[in-house]
Amino acid sequence: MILHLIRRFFPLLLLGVILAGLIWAVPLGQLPPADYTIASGGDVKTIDPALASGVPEGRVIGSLFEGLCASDPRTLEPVPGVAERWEISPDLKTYTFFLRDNAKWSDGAPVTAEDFVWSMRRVLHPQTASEYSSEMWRIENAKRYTKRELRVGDPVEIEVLTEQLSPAEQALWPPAALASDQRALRGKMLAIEKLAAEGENISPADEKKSSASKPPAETPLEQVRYVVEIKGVPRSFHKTGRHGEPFEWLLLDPAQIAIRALSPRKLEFRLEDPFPYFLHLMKFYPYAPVQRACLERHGRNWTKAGNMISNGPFRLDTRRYRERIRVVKNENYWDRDAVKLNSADFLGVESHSTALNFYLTGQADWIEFVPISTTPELLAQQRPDFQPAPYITLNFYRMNVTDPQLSNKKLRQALNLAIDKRAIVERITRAGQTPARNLVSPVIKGYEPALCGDYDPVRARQLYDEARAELFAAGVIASPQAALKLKLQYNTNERHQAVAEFAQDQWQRNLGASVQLNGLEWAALQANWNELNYKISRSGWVGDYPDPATFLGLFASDGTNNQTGWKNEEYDGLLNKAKRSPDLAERNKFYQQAEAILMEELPIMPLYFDVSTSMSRTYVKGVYPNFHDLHPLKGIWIDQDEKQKALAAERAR
Amino acid sequence: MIGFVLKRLAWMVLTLWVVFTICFVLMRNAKGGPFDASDRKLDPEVKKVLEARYHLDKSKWEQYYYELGNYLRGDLGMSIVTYDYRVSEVIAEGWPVSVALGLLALTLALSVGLTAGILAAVYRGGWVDSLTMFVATVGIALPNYVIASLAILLFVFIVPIFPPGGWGGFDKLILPACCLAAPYAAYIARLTRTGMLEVLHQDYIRTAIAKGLPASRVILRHALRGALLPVVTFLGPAAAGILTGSLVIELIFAIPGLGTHLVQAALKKDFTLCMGLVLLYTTLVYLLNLIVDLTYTILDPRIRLE
Repeated sequence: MILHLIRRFFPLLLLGVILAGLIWAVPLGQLPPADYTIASGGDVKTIDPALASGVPEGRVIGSLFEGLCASDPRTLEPVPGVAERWEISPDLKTYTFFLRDNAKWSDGAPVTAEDFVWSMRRVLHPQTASEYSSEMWRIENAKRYTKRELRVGDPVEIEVLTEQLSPAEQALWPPAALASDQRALRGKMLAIEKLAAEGENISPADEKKSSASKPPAETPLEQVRYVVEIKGVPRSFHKTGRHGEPFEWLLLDPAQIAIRALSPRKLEFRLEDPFPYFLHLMKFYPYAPVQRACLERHGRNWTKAGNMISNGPFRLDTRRYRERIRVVKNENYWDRDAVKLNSADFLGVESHSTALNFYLTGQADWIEFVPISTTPELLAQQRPDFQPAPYITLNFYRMNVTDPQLSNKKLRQALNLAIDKRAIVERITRAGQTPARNLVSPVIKGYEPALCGDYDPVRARQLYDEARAELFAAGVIASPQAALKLKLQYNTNERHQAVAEFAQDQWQRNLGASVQLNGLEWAALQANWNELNYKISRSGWVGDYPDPATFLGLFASDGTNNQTGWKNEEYDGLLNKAKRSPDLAERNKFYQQAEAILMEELPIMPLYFDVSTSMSRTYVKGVYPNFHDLHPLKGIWIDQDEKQKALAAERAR
Repeated sequence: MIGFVLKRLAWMVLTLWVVFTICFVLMRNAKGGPFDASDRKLDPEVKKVLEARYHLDKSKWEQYYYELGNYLRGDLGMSIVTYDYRVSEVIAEGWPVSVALGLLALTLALSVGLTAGILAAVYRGGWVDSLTMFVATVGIALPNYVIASLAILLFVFIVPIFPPGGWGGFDKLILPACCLAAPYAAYIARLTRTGMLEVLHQDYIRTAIAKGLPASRVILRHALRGALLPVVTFLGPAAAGILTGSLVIELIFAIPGLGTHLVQAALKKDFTLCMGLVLLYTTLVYLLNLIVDLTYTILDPRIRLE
């Protein structure tokens, strides 16, 4: 009977179910449009300043949080943020910031120097695993804290095991780092004893006492026993608890890190070495303050809309995964009168074509990228809203110098001379990129670059022949006449593929080398770099601030991002000299000498310096071209008359 | 019937386990992990702490048992790459979007396909027939991203009646739903036409016409009911296809549905999120097929479930 009824009214039933579904689902996404909408290359990984990395993250976090310094929208030079002024010691090693009285959190509480100290400790704590903690290692003892480089006599902090924390403490994010204040033991390191690998026989203590500890990378933590004097009593600690009390983390006492709140309004940093660009770091989001009370209340959920408390010109209103992040004006912001936008949206649009569609139909006012294939046409239209500007990025090819063939310097030089880089920017990239003959981006002012050889197919061929003779003599290749077999890998992308095909053609034509191309996804490419499992690979680097060091530091022998296998003591020495120099001119001179070595040795082959390819509606005011294509939301406003006119004109067309 | 449903559900659990295992093996053996997909190389110790946080430092077997155990407890874990989200939160935000898109596409495919099929059968050999069948052949042949590009060009730029994408509001859903539905509408039209043509020659139709019933009544009540069965059979695969086909459409139209999330999770090696979404897709496809099978018996009393 029931079946019969269902059968009879089945079409109606189906229709009802579908309608109900639609009515339920569709309104979930309704939001009135924001004052200003941007599409910045996809959704963000996180909006926690300590854990974020990447450019889209920087745009969102930059609107929510404010560091001691903010960015001038035209030059990106540091201007007062939470700090109203600062003092710099003549040796460029002590920076003292004076915080403004009216700096407030979005809940109205004052922002204090202690907030900054606590936030930066959170970044530095190894359990936080912040990708940018290394940016803070210029501060005295910061690296020793994160990397657990402990010495006898150091004041230390021992954090209890996570499982011993209360559920509330375990919910903190990350737990040990935050609970440490109340729960940690503090004392003085008496001895660091190395245990035998088998773990039973302890080597003579006196032998180890005198020497500084080995970095954890050399000695596994399980083979070290720490003796710490706590309240006058020596106690032994061992990571797993086999040879002493177990601990979660045994770190340098964070009070040793030279970030000190001298008063609620006065904050002092002491640096290991002079550093002229320290103010630039103060605008960088890992240095932004987060509110301790908010993190302690919400734990890992503190970044959710409704929970997050921030101190920037805007606060978080809505967040939808891969759809949009909406921020609204923070009425408690100290400079609220300067903030003209009431709301702004960051769209999670991934595809560049879709972003362009959004832009052209007025659904986005600013987009970070246009599809590469559209740039020539957009440029030909001479649009006022598409003005590529130099960007602090170099595109280059890595060469694995541990490869038997590429270990030959002449071969690397020949490969470099055989590529016409001018042709790459004129025929392939075509948006105003400049051919590169060095590593340091030309947007960095006051630095004279050291150049490598320019396109020269004849000289390239000579070097190639010499290289083959040397490789034959060394027994690497079977015959000095045989064409070398090279492999070039790149991350699959329209532009990188075209450049790779061009390089393949040039190396075959000018040198007679046989080149195999291999397109990979980004993660696989990076994994290959880590394992030095490549011959030649495409790569790129975006400078963090306008300092030659952000480029040259890459290829220090111990540089995390070196990944070419190239090591050079003279180069390292020059970098160290530059690092210690308080004189800017002298500093740049050392860097130039270092770059000269790199451009002679060529573990990398520079290709071209990139440009930004963003589009910005002309009715949006306060957007200026700059080397990071970064446009602080604080100073942006919309010319409503112009907007209405522009949109009406487009509709009429 | 209850026995049938239970049996199928038991098979579903087994299928999910197999999919889980295959997915796990494939992901862990792909080149590069979630912490290699970042813009720059992580400090080795930072990477170690992060890997330990998600148990990626353990052996593959331990990881397998750990993750399977979590699933059995109903805990889908945190997204590895997007730190701020749990996998369950991503699914909760994404599935209404995908369901709305899928439902609309299915409705469009059914209504357009049925109408076109009936018209083509009734006016067999005429221009209506030729035109619909031509459009249907083109619709089946073109992949949906081509249809999407053409549709955007036509209805967003040349005749601007629809927004280019996004989520929120019925207007943004129509264009992607049409593109998603197009190949299925075309296929349903062909199925309906064939079914109708077969039925229209049967004796009982001739009887109905002879009795003097109006043509519309004969076609819609008597003929269509018989012609509908192959269409219903096709609904299962169609629903599954629309769900998985939305991967591309969601990306093109920037719709924050499960398809977008799955593609991005796979590219960024977000193991936990990827696994959660793959298993969700498996469940959805399985359940849809089950529902279609049940519908089948409701519509045709001759069919008994075994």
